[in-house]
Amino acid sequence: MGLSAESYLVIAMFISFIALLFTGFPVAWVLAGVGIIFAGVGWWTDELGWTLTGLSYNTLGLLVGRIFGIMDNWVLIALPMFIFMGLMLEKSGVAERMMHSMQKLFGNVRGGLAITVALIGIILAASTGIIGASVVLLGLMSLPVMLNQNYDKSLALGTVAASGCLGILIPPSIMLVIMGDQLSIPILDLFMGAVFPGLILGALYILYILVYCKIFPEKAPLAVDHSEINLRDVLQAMVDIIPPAALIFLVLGSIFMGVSTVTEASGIGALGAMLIAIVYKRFDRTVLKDVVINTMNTAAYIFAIFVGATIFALIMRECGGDELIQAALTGLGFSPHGLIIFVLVVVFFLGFFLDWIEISLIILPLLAPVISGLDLEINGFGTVDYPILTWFALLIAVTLQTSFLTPPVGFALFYLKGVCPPSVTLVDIYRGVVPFIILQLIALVLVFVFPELVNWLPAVAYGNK
Amino acid sequence: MVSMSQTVSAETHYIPIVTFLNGLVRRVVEAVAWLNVVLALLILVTVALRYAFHRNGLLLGWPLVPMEELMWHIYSVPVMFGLAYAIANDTHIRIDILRSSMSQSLKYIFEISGILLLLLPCLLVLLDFSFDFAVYAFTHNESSQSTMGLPHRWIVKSVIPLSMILMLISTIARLIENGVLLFHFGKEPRKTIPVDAPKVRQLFEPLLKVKDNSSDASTS
Repeated sequence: MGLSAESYLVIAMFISFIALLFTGFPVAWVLAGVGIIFAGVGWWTDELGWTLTGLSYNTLGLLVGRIFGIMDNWVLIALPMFIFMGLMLEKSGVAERMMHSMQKLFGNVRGGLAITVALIGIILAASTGIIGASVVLLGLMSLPVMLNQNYDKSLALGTVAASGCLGILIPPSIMLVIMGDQLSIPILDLFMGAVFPGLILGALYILYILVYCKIFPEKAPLAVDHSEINLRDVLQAMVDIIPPAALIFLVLGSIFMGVSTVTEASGIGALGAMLIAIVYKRFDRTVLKDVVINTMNTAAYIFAIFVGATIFALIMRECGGDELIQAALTGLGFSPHGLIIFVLVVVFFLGFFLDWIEISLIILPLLAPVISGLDLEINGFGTVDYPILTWFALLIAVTLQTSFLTPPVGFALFYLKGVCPPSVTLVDIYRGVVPFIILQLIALVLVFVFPELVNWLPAVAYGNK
Repeated sequence: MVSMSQTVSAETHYIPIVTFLNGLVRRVVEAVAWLNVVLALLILVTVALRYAFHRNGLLLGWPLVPMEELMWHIYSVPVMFGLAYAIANDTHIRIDILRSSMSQSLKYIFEISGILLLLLPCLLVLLDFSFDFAVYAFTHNESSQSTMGLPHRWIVKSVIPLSMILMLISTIARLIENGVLLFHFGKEPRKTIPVDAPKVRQLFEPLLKVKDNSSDASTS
């Protein structure tokens, strides 16, 4: 197969990008810089008569319009709002309260503490979607308690790492917002599609903890001061769980029932989180300022990658990079399912050193045309507009979660190591996450084999309208 | 004997000009960050109004269309200005696998080359085009395509060149910081700056951070 001269430019672009990433220079500016440099290179090779890219200085003028396209994107408004909501919830102390009261509630169940962590992970998964933040929050809050209670180190660590990673999947995850934007599919579909995979994962985690503690009761001792549950504890637990649960329910419910758009729900969610913080007396000027500045900063480093990826993608497209990648992927000779498995394996390994932000912004747009062009019978129940892409996006989401948990370099593991007491080694963490990786893989296979798990809920919701 | 605490590093020392430039960027961006609160409130009002209009069957669109446009106007400012803030605070995402085991001087060298070869060219190109982009919007009196939309599109369009200028400021600050630190790498900091040293030199001299004063005083 003969490669055109332009193809070499594209390949050189990718290689320079990957090589420069490892210098540790910010990803966004490596993308942007490589884009700009290759616009110059393309112009130069055109001048020499080697290529026909048509690149010139004026090509770069298109970039400003593209950046403005990120700014006037109505859907992306939800991003800073959901980040605000998550950070504010974190500051409001809901997690500590839930931890405290649910600990009592599950005091008589072996592994109750681990289950508490998993449940908080599920409820607060909504909270940030930034892996580091949720793993650190859960770790700081629950590890000392679990280790004090003589929990098996590995069980404790695995639970924290895995529950922290749920955040990127369970709606309203900001990763799904970005994926929806990049794949041009309704975010509503992705949110609803994520409900069952998320629930399956949560259920698998809890089931595993219960069974494990049944078999090895010594690994999860009960608290020394545990007592019979009385009605007061139950009520207290309800009181502590209701505010965050109601907020999430309000946000997701209003989106799912078509009462409000994702953007509107995100704004209401941000204010709702503020309200919870006020009620819990955690709200003051310092907290607000902290959340406001952190929101801006988090949104900014995500958008930096938007900007960088936009520049990189535009120049690569001008060099014919899209066609090259599509031809390469289809030229591999895989069956449609085989191709998807191949892509998932690649994404799994990319997840070792790239965050979901880079993967959704750089890799997904390249894959979208190939995947939606696949000859696959994915049941969209006649109402889901892009059944294949919706299903594919969630496969990627579960794959990334798994990748972030996988030794030796999963993101979650390192964040967790950062908040562990010194007695915990990386090997303890590695050992702890293995069962959860297996659970992740089970969920991944389930979603892969039964695309209905993803597409059924959005289809039913549309059917009702 | 030169102890570790006495060599010049970003943890123990600051460079007056860098602190000044970053402070400028931080102050501006931290102020606009509050627009996110305004945005949340605006969304609340819009939702409430939409309900009110629905109920009265007045689906004329006004004032909802301008309010919805105002939303992305407001959202875009902290997001774009934040790019500069993340440079000033060094919070942009990096791939740390190799970087964490690099020597300090190699880090400085990579940072300086990255800024000169990758970031600065990009900022200058975008500043050049985005300036024209905003000016064009102003001279052609661009407004929203929607009849009920907001006029004066040049205001939001000038957010791009403005954020490029802010990013240039914080990038230059980083360049100076890394340059000075590389230059002073492994050297013992000067005890005092000569009184007759030119003002410019005083700006670029790494000075001991005040809060570290006590610990350093005990070792020296």
